[in-house]
Amino acid sequence: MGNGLWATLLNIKGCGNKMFDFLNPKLSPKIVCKSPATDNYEIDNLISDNYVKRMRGFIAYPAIKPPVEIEIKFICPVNIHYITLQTTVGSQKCTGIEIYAKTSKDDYTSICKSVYDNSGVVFCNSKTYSNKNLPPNFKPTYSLGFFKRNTFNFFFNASEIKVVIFRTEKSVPCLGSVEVWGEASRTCSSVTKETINRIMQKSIPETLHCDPIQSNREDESDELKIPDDFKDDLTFELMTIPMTLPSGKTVDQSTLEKHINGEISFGRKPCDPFTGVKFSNTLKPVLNVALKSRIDMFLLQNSHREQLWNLKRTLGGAQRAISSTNYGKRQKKCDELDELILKAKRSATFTSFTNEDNTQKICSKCKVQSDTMYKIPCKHCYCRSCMLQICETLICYSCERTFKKSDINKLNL
Amino acid sequence: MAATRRLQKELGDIRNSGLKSFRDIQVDETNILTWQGLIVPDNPPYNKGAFKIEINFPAEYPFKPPKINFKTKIYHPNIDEKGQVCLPIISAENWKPATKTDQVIQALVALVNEPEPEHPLRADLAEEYLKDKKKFTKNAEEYTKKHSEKRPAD
Repeated sequence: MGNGLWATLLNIKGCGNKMFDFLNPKLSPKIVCKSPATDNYEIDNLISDNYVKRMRGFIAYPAIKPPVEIEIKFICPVNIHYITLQTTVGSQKCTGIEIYAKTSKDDYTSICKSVYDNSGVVFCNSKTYSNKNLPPNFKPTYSLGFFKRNTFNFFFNASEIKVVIFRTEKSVPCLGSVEVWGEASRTCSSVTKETINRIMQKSIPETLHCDPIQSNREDESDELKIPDDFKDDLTFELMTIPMTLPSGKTVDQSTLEKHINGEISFGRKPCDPFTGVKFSNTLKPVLNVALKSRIDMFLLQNSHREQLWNLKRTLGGAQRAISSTNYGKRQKKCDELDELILKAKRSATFTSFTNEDNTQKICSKCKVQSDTMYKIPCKHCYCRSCMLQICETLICYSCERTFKKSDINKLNL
Repeated sequence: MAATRRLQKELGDIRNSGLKSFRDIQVDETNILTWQGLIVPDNPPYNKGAFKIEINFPAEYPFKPPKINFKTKIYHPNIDEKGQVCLPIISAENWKPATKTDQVIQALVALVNEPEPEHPLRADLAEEYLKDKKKFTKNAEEYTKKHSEKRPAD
C-alpha cells in the first residue's frame, strides 16, 4: 500500500497534474444503461452522491442476460490511468469485462478485456503500472489487467467509455462500483483543467444526510409516530392483539375482554362496544392477522426506542393468545343466568322489580297509569302528583304506615 | 394507565373543535382524570350566565363512565343542590365505551338548555317548571344572575 501511495505522489509530480476519479459525483459524470435494472439497484447508484445508494451498486433486471452495456460520459476528455471495477454485488458476480473508449473524433474501440475469477478487476496503463508497481489502493483480491498498447489514442483522450459485462457466474449482470482515475487530457484547455482542480479542491463534505450514523441520530430526536391504524379505536394505545369487530372497528384483545367483563357484570351478553350488537357465530371479533404482522414489524423496526420497551408482546401461537373459547364459555354462563332467572320468576317467592307486574304501573291513590312511579317501603306505588301530596304527611295513603322521605324509590317502568 | 392516551386524544380533539358551549377546559397536568370547564348555555333562563363543571374520569375509563358535577349553583330540575346531574348517557348501565366525552358534554348542554321535568332530581323545581313556567323562569333567571359565573366575552 505504501508503495502505491508513493507511486501516486510521484505520478502527480511527474505529470504536474493531480489524478481524480472522474466518476466522482462532483464532476457530474453521466451514466446510461439500456438494460433495465432491479428496483433500488439502478445504474444511477454508481454515481450517486448518496453514500447508501452508492454502496448498493447496480444489478440488472433478473431476466437480463449478458452482454450488458454501460455507457459513461465524462465532463471532459480524460487521460485514463487506471479503472477499478468491483464486479460483485451481494451474491451476484460478473467474471468477464470489456471496456471500450471513444474520443471526440473516433467511435468506440476496445481498450481492454479480461476474464477472471476475482471479486473485481483493475485495468491500468502498462506504461505507468506493472505487476510490481501496482496502481494505488489496489486490492489484492482484485484481478489486474492492462490497456492494449496500440489503443493509447483512445485511453489518453477518452471522452466516453463503455463497460460491457459479457460473462457472469450463473448470476445476474451487476456492478458494485466503478472508478476511473486519471487526469484531464492534454487536449483540454488550461481553463478546463483549472476548473476541475477547483471543483475537486472544494472540500465539500459528502452530503451529511447520507451518513447512516447521522441519519440515525436524526431519527431519534424525532418523536416516535405510531400510525393511527395501529392504535386501539377505544383506548388509542398501540395494540398487541388487534381484533376486528363486526362494526369494522379494531380494538385490542385486552380492551375487548375488559368491555365484555363490564357487560357481564350487568348480566348482558358479549356485544360490540361500538354498536351494542350481540356477538353470534357469524358476527364476532376476528383476529386481524395482517395488521398484527404489520404492528410486529413496526415494533421490530423501532425496537431501539425506549418508549416501546415496556409494551406487552405476544408469545407462542396465535391460537393460545386468543381466548376464542372464552366467548363460548361466557355465552354459556349468560345462558345459564337467563335460565336461573326464568326459574326464579316462576317460583312464588320471587318479587319482580320489572314492569312485568302491571299493578306497579297504576297509582294506588288516583288509579292512573304512569311510567314513572314512586314506591315506599310498604310496597305501595304512587304517581308523582299523589306522592307529592303524601309527602306532606309521610303516611301511606293505602295502609297508613309511616315512612321516611329518604325511603322513596323512583321507578322508571 | 389505560385512560391516559384516550383522554389526551379526547382533550386535544375537544380543544381543537372550538366548542362554543363548553370552554375554558382546565386540566391539571399531573392528573388528566379531572377536567374543569365552563358550560355556556344558549337558552333562557340560563343564557345570562355560565356554569363551572367538573368531570371526573375513573381510572378504568373508557370502560366505566365519567362523573359530572356542577361547581356553580344552578336552578334546574335535573341538577341537585350538591351539583349532581342525572344524565342517562353516563349512567353505569347505559355506558358504552365508544361514547366520547364531547358527546357527553353535548348531552349535558342539551339537558341544561331543555330541562326534562319527567325525570327530575329536584321534584319541587320540576313541579314548578310544569305548573308555573313563568314563575320558574323568573326564579331561574334571578338565581342565575346571583350565582352563575361571568360569560366569556365572545
